[in-house]
Amino acid sequence: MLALLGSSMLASAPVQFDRIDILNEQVPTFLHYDVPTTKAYPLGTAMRFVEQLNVSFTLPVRGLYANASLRSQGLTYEGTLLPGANGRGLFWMAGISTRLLMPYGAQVGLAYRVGFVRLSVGVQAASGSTWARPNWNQWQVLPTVGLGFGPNVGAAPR
Amino acid sequence: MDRSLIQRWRSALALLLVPVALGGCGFIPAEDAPTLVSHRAAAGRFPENSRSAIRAALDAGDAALEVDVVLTRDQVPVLSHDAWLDAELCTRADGSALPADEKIRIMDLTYLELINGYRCGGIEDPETPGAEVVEDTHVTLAELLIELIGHPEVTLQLDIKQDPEDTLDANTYAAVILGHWNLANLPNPMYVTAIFPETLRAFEGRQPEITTLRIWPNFPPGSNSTLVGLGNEFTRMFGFQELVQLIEEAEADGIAIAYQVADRGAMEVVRQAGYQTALWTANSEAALEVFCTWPIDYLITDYPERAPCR
Repeated sequence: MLALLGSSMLASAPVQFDRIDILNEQVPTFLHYDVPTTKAYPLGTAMRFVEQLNVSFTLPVRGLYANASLRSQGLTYEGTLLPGANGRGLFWMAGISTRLLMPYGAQVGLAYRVGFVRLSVGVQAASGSTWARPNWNQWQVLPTVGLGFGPNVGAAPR
Repeated sequence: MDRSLIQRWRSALALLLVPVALGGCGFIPAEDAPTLVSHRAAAGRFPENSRSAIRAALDAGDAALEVDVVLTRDQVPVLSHDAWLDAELCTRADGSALPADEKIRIMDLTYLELINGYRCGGIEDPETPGAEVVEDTHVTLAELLIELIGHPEVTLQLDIKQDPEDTLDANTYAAVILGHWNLANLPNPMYVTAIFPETLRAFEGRQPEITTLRIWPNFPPGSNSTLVGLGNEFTRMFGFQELVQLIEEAEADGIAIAYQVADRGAMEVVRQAGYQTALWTANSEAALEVFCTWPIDYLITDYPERAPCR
């Protein structure tokens, strides 16, 4: 009975797993700064790869996603630009990034969802702000790329 | 396969490649190449901090020398990486081995006791295979400054090995070492590095115009460097530590970072904030090739001849 109740609650829960990103659009520094040092220090690049792996969940507001990796945690909103079959297609997106809830940056871009794949491109403005040194005076702007795999439940019609 | 699906995948791939092409910022060399610093006077050639290493580095035209400084009991600054005699690198003057389980601190010896009783450099250093083995006494800071006469272009990095447990206090270090430096009145650029903020504050307090860089992170002797590196990586990743904050806490002018925990983006932030940056200790050709393109002021290596930015 309890199992039945639990599973029915999960089925109706607004928070659902959406995807895992192997390239995290919230951590463009991995692609820009860590990948080029692979030859010099492969262990470091491997460590930073793991740090940027991202898990995304849908939230009760349609189009809103929670993202979490060791490097960055944040929220992203996706709005439909060109709808495709089963809720897939092209989306515009905007998001904010935090380090343990300390906001440090924002990004905008385009996301393309097809099958179990989500690709994104965009641009991120990030400050070095942390709890140890809250500071939004210095900014760094980098192009972003995201590549994720998952059921894309957030994009599917509900 | 469905033609429209292929078309869609092509579009997606093109979309993906645009920022990759625009990006790749890490492959673009920084505007200025770093000054190459010969670590422990280029320990890849001769024993670390030795006369032979210093002379070889100056003869080879190295741009900068890093040496480690420790004070004896009678306050003579000598070059030594550790505040004690390293049993793996040094022996007694008669050639007998030093006890591995006993720490012979330099602060407990007078200068004469040190040079009459002990020799270093006569044992091959496993960290720098291929380096010449030359047994010698400790070099004093005064001797090094004399060697620098005639080489006004060579930058000097004095890494101050002062610590709360095994050396004299920070103020004594600052007074004695700056006294030697000021007396020599050399035109060479010079900067001071140290692990502990108190050491740097003592130098800054005595002579504010001296450039000071904080060494980070601290790898205590005998510690597992991978674990120490990982711990520091995580504290910085979660924002509990931050490079500019570490510099400002020590009232320093910059930071010298182990390459294992460094990242290029953070180095750019430090430089944008107006502070200096150094990276230690990159020795492989692959590592030197990469770090030569980073936005850093100093690149520290045991093998300066391997670096393309030499």
